[in-house]
Amino acid sequence: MNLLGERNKEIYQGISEYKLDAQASESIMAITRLRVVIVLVKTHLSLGFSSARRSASASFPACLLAQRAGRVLLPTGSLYYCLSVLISLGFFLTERLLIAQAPTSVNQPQFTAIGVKECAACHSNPSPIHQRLGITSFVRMVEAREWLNHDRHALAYKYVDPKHNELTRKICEKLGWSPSGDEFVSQCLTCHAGVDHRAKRPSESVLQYGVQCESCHGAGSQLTRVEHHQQVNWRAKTPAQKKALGMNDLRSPKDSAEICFSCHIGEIDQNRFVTHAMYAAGHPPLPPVDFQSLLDAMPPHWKSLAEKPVPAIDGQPSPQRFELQDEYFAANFGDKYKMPVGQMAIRQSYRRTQASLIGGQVAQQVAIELLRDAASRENLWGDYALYDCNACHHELQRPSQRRQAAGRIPGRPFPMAWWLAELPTEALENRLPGPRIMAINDVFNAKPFGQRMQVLEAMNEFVVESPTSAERSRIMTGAQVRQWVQQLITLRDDDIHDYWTAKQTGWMVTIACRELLHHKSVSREPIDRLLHELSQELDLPIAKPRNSPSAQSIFLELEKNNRFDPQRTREILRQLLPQVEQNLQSERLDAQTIR
Amino acid sequence: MAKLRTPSYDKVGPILVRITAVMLRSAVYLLMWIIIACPLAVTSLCSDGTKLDQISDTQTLPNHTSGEFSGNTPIRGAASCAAATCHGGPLPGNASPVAPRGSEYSLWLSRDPHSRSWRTLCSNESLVILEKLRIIRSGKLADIAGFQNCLACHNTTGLGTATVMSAAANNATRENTLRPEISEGVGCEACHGPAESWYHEHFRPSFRSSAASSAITGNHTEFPGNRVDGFVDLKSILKRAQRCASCHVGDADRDMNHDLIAAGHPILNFEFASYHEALPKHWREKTDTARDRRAKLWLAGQFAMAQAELNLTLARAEQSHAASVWPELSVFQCSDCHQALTSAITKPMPNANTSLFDSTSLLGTLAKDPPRTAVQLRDSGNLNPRRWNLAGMESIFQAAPGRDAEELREQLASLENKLVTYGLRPDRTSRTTIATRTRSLAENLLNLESQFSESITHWDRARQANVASGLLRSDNLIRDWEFACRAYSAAWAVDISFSADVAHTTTANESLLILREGLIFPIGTQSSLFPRRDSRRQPLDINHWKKAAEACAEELEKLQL
Repeated sequence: MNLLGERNKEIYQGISEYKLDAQASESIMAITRLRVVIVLVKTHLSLGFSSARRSASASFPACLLAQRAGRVLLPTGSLYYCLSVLISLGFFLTERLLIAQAPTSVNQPQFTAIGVKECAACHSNPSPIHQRLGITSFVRMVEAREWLNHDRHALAYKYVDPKHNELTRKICEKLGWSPSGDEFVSQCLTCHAGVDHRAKRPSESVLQYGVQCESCHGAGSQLTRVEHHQQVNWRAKTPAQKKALGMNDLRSPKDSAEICFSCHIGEIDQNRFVTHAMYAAGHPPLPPVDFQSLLDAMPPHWKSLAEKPVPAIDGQPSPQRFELQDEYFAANFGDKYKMPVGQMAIRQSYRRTQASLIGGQVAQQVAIELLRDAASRENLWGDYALYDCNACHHELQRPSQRRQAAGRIPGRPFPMAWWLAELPTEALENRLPGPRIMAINDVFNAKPFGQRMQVLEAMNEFVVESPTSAERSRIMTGAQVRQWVQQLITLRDDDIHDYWTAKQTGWMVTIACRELLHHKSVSREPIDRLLHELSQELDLPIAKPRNSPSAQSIFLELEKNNRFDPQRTREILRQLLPQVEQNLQSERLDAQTIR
Repeated sequence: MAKLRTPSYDKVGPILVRITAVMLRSAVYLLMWIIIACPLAVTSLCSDGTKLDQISDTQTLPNHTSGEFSGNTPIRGAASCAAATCHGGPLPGNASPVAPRGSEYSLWLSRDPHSRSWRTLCSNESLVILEKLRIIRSGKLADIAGFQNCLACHNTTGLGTATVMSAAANNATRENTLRPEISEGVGCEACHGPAESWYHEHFRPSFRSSAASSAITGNHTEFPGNRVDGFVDLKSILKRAQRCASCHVGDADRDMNHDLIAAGHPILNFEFASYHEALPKHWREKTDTARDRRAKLWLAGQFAMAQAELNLTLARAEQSHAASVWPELSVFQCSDCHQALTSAITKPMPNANTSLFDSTSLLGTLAKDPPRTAVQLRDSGNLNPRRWNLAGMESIFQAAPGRDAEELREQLASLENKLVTYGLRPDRTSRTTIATRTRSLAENLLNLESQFSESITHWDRARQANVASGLLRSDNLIRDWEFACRAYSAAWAVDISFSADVAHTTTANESLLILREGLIFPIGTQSSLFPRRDSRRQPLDINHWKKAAEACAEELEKLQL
């Protein structure tokens, strides 16, 4: 038995399932509850003092809502102005005092000015006032809580904290880094805590939340938050306007996938790149990605589009209403939402498949940019982590199970196979030119690891205008989805040599087929069975969020990779192909069947 | 997609003016940039390009192994030696155990595997390799330099001769279509030197091989009437070893690199003394040195292997060979890259228990008994240089100690350190640094050559036994297959059968057999020429093997030589 492996196994076992300290979430909840009480009281009072809304809203976001309501009920009176200022100030101080007195423990979250605290203040618990105003039909208002309690991103730093994790200490030791030193921050925490590698090391209280709200949603400032985000007309702003103010458009699969893959594939500008030295020191391998499947594995802290109340059409009142409802839909979907077809589009188009497709394109894009950026830096170029693991890590025997795609010279490592696997994109207008991927072969065939300048040139050609098919109003029809699945299976037939390409393909096919099935009432049996087989073969289910990556799961994944037999996967996919054609022919655009 | 904003018509005029102004300005800037940037761009592109890659201070290393033959001196072919009255006499019968004079060609043709090396190149396996390397594409010769690189070892006459190249181009190297005289395999002149200038001289009494051999190093000795060029004096063991190593390790003209290995060529694990032993002899050795011959051969082999490896690395790093590429992966240990991503629990190698040394990889540096010395030497994910050929340097230093040896030892350590640090970094700086270090090492080794060939004459079995027992007692023995092989070959070269000390000889022989057993390639990983392990036999226990090594070392120390 390989003792190196044994050692790693022990280390992996050292990562026990980390549970966020109950006290930490408890204290957040306590504060939130206090806040709700305060806000309620404040609301009742400020109903009459709406002229004080400027001062009040500056300090208490919830006052804003109250004032909105108050404005309707009572006229503005200068009489109440001074009183309202005083009362608001009083409550402000009381609140601060109460927070200061809240039970402190070792893991007591120490919020910074901008960070989880600000978001959690509102987005942790829907208050009755939120519900009364119909806000909760539109935003869940439990986002921070959901994220903290269920999302593994909240543990991204805790997992790797050298204080708890033996593996981290070993990796650091092997790489010659001090766990408290700068390298650990600039090389590891760029992903594990969303740290900017150019900035100074943030305090532990900032780091402890790992990948937190602003890592994905975009960093804002106190000013924009107060001036824009907390104003009611925030929801009427278009995604572009929000982006200009610092908030990322995470409803767009493109923008969203770019943010995810910045860590899950890598981005050199941000210092988010797992080098071969880090892998060799013990970092688990980065698995392939399918955007929609990753998203499915993430506990949703958001409301899906289908869950949002669509405004009234054709005289039928909307079941639920919220303020600026029409403006919200207009800003996000243009005028289409007003027409029945448009509503259908919002609710029923094949958004999951679309996300999966766009995610695939973005993944390719990000990978190509990674290669390009590495090629443009002499010190990073040639890092083995840019290449397919299996190119070197294979057995030496005859007959060999080595996986070598056609058109490649043996002994010339090629970039990670799934990065550049063919992706049929006819289903969408904007596409990466697939056949040009074949041209990359020549560049990497030229000499071992490729000729740097040639790679740079080739990759620069590839960095084209990225897919903008994420235009929110785009609809993917059932016919397009079918076409996409068929082409994917056909094209990837030659490409499936390694486990990771197969796995990505498996995810994409499953997402598309399941969505097709969902929109159809046909005999599901053969497709269901084949999808199940595929899932078994490729081990598609992603570990549930709170399950920590145990030693066993990492080794099982690598074992799968080692023992992978492409033939079996190809057979399943080949059987699936005619089924997709036959059984999923007709589709019904029936709004009732949508969940 | 960015939406184009259509300007309203009343704004078109000013916009046009502005556009023109902007365009004019950009044109001027562009021109300036072109003037400034062009020379810069050319220099920067060339820094990684292929054309200007040659190191500026390249000097030709006096290359005495083979480089001097390439293409310049015509090869006459083995057939020209085959006259029945010259070297093509009748084969010796059973009654004549030693090779009679005059049957050299016949012996070579019928018994020596070198005469079949052309056929190896024409085999289906080789064609697959040639196709994988795109040397042959759709039946046509596509890469002449690559094919020359194959012929450089596999065919004496093929080196650059137009006939072979055109024949090959038309017929994709099928043997039946090529005339035998141009497809002779490794013929006489591959080792004895191109005969063009000494063919008419070498049977004259005035021809003295020792004098003629100096022609190799460039001092062309004038013989009455004719200039003698290219004759190699193979009476010198060191010369002999160098000739062998030029193919079996490689040199400036012959690069059996990782591309070929990846395409299916077996790896070259050359050991001069044992290869020499296995070769069917077409010559007679002097009997007075027989007792110490193996030991001398072993020592000469260590020198030749190291020298050839350095010449090869130099050619690779200087990119002076057309078939070479940098970074060259075969400079490093196979198992450093080719290891399973997981431990043995997740990926056992096939028949893992049939060999002691393959728990993770083919030539597995033994991972059963950590910590590996290699791991201590390198950083995470770095590679170790392959030591099969260079490890012999240590024995050279022992045989020819002195200030030069000390300097060499330091240089070798620094080269290996650089290789570990740079790994497979493809940039120019690392490549030139390695080239410079290899060059100075190769030059110093060459300076040591005359002193060393003197030490070979003094080398005997007692000293060999000393070296062998030292190797067998080393901690590296059970960690590194290559090291273990070297230790075994050193012990074997002591040639204990010459000893009258029966008791010790028997024990030593038995332990040698066990050592050998443990080193045989496991099933599924051997090349066809290597001995196969019998799958029905019990797998060897590592402790049993270790004890055998200890016993062997002990016997060698006690042995009356």
